[in-house]
Amino acid sequence: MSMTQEAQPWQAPEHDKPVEQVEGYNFAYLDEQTKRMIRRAILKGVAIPGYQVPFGSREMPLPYGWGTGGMQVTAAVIGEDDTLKVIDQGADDTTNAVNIRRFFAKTAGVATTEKTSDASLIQTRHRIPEKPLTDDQILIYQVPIPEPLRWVEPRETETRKMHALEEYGVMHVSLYESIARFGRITTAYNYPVQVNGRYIMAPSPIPKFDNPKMHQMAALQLFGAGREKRIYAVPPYTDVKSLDFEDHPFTIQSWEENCALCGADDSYLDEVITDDAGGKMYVCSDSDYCAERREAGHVGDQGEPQTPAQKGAAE
Amino acid sequence: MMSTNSTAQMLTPGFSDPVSQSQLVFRRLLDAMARPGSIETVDLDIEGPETLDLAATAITLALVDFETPLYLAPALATPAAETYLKFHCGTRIITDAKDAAFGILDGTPEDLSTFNTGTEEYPELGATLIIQIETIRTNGPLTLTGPGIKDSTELGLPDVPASFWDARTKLQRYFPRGIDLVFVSGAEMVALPRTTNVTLQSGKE
Repeated sequence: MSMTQEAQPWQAPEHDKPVEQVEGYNFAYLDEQTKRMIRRAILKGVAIPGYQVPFGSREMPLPYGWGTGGMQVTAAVIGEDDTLKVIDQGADDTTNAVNIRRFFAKTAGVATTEKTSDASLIQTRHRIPEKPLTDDQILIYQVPIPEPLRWVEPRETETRKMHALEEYGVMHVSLYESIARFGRITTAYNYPVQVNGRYIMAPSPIPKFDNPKMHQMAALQLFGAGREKRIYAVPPYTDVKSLDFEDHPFTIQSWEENCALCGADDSYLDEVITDDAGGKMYVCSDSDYCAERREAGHVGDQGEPQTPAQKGAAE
Repeated sequence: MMSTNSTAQMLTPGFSDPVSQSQLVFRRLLDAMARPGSIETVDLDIEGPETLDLAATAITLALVDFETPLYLAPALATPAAETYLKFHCGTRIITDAKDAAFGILDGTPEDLSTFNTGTEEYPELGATLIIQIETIRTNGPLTLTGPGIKDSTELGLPDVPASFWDARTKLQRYFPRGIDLVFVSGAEMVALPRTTNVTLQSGKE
C-alpha cells in the first residue's frame, strides 16, 4: 500500500495557465441568430426595468445551474475589446468563475482580469463587488430562479398576471408572516426588490448586504436565467428598493468581527472553519477587494504583512 | 433573368465583418437605451440604401431577422431599400404597422397608436421605432428624467413637433405597455425607451 511521493518542482495548476483562443467556434460560442435574439431581449429588458423578458435559452456546454443564463447574456454583449471578470460568491478563483473566464478566453479570445477596476464586463454568481462600479462597466448576474413570486405562487400564468396588474400584496404578506413568526424578516439572500417603483424583482441570490448597492448604481445590470429562460435588467441610476415595512425597515447583515486577513470592517465576510476544534476565521468574500487592501498595507488579526516596509518591521 | 440582374446591380454590401460589427452596433444601442439622452455614434462605413441613415441601416442589420417583421414608412420603402433589407436581414417587410416588431420612419409618426404597444402581460412585444430626423442636439429644450439618467439630462430634437411629445406622454400612462424610440441622424443615435419622461421647457422654441 505504500506510495512513494517524489518531490516535484512546484507547477502552476492547470487552471492558472493562460489559454489560447480555440478554432472552430463562432466568436463567444453562440451563433449570430441566437445573439440577435438575446440582444433584442436585453434591449427590451432595459426598456422595461425589472420585467422578465422570455428568451429562447440555448443548450450551453455545461449544465443548467452553472450560470448558463449569465453566460448567454455575456456572449451576446461581449466584444473583442472587452475585459472580462468572473466572480463566484465574490471570489475569482473558484471553480465556476475560473471555468467561465477560461470559456470566454477560449471562445472569444478576450482579455480577462481579476481586478474589479480593470473589467468592462463582470459576470457574477451571487455577489456584487465591494468596490463601487462605474458608468463604463456592465454587471451580469447568473440567476437560478428569476421569479420573486414563485415561492408564494407556483403558477406562471398567475405570477405573470400579478406582475401585469402590479398585484404584489401577497409578497408583503409573506414578509409579514416572517415577522409574525420570528419577529423580523428572516430572508437573508435573494431579498425581493422593487425596481423604479413598479416591478418586483429577484436580485438573484446575492446576500441582502448587497441590495443597497443596486440602488442608483452607475453600471448597467443585466440578469440571465438559462433554465428558466428569462432575461431582465436594471438600467444605471435606477431606484431599487428592498421591500420592507415602516416599523420593520430593511437592514443589512453586520459582523462584530473584521476580516482576519485585511482587517476590513465594511465588507461581506465569510466564516471559514480552520480546524475540528471550533477554530474559525472571518475573511472578505470579495477576494479582489481583500487582496487590494492587503497590497495597500492593511493587515488583519491573522494576516501576514504584504508590503516590504511591514515585512522589514516584522523581522 | 432581367430582374435578377437589376437586383444584383441595386444590392450593396451589408456589414463587412458581421460578427464584430453587429456586436459593436448592439453595444452602441445598448448604451443609448441604458442611458437615454446620450448620443452614440456608429463608427462604421456601410453603403446602405439611399433612403436610410447609416445608424438606421446598422441597427437593422444588427438586430432584425426572420423573427421580427419590419415596417418601412412609405417614403423610405424604395425597391432598393426593400431588396437590401430582405436580402441582408432575411426579414419580412410589412405594410401593416400594427404587426411590426421594428419600424423605420422618416420623422415622427402622426399617430403612435398605429404601432404595437405590447400587452400588460407581455409588454416586450411593444415595437422599437427607428426614427430618422435631421438634427440631434444636447442642449434642450427637452428635459429627460427616468431610469438610466442621473438626475436629469437635456436633449434637443428640433424636428419633432410638440404634439408628438404630448401623444407619447399620454401613451406612457399605459406602462408597462409602450413603444421604444431610437432617433437617428446620419451615424448618430439617441434612444428614448418607454420609461423616459420627456418635458418640453416652455419659453424655448
